Amino acid sequence: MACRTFGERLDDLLEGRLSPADRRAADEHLRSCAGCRELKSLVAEASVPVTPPADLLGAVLARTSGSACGSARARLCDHIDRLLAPADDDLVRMHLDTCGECAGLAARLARLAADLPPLAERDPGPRLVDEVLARTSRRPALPSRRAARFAAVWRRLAHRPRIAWEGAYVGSIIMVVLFGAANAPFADVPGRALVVVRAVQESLPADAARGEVPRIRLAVLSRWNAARALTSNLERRSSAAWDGLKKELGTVWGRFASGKATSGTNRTADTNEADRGDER
Amino acid sequence: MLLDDATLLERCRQGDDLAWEGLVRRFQGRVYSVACHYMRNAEEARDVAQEVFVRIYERLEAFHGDQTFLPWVLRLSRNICIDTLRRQKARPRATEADVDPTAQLASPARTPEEASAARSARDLLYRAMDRMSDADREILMLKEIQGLKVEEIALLLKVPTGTVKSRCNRARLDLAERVRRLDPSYGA
Repeated sequence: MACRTFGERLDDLLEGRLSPADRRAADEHLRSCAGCRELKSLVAEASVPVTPPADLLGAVLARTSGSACGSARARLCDHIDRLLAPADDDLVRMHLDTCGECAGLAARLARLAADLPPLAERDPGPRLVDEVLARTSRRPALPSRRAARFAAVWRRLAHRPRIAWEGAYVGSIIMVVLFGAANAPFADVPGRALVVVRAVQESLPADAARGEVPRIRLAVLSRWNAARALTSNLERRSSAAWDGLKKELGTVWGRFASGKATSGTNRTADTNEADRGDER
Repeated sequence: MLLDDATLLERCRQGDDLAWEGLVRRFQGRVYSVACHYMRNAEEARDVAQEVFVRIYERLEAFHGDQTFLPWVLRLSRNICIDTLRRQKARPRATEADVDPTAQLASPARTPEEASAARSARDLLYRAMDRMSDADREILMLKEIQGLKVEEIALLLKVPTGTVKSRCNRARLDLAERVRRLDPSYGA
């Protein structure tokens, strides 16, 4: 048997897979070849499992890529959630087999994944449902609620101090848009009105205009008197309305003052009434 | 068989008071839990939870069936909590973190030993979370506790989904570390 053939069959020889004839030939070759005897003893020693030193991996990593814990921790949550690709998952597993610190962290993360979801609900006590129902059940039906919401929003807007400024601003813009801008729909209205007035003035001869003056004066006076009568009538009515309002306010204030004194009693009565309403 | 959320909502929209009560009962634990998380005060959390339900009642018509109800409720709860906190910013709170995590939790029936172990685990988690930053607590609450999807949280917090994932992973690792410091035997 040649040295090359012996080398090719060395694994089979060591693991007992050679045929008896080949084994005899190999033994004969070993007796005659010192190099192949040395090769056989080396391979036989290397095939015996030997535990590597505990710090070997760390020493190698320290001199090459550095610790892999950072990379492992970056993927640890996905590993716990089973979101990693199989290859990455195997790598993380291999790391966890050798790194006690990361394995402990992985165990805590797994426990957290089980312990956190039950915190989603807390018992607010028996009163919350009753309180919510009390605040919602006697509300108006849904369509009118929309109107009420709109009214509430409007009230909130109108009660701000700057509403007057905003109204004036919006009004000015509307006026400019309607009358002032070049392409405004009513841009020519004031001009036309002036033209009409001038045309009327020019169409009357001077004498006729002088003759018309007393008639115009009379007409203006009669309109003035009618306007005075209307104004005094309005004044009377508004003063009557103001008196009525004052009386009404006085009554409401009186009720409020007396109600404040007996608020405790009234509140109990209201609650009882509300309860009765609920039962109904 | 329990009514599903969509049916319950439809009944509520039709004005069925019983359905409305059922809906409040179904979601009160979730809403209160979120409120406790933000307000960290039991009484204020209860007030906020009430306000959330009143707001839900007013907006039942505005809710569209194509979105999921729970994320909508949680988003509304969060917004109301944040608004309330903003309003309170000027005045200091009477008490901080006075939510009792052990007494106020809804837990399913267990043996006394299991219930006790669960209580102590929850207590530990609340203590650990109490020391985390507000942003980390919030993301843990939304994703790990309330179970919202990354996309839903991204929409809610107005950040990219990648940011949500990385923040959440960081918060989980941080929580695991804090828990280890409080109880080295946790998860062992």
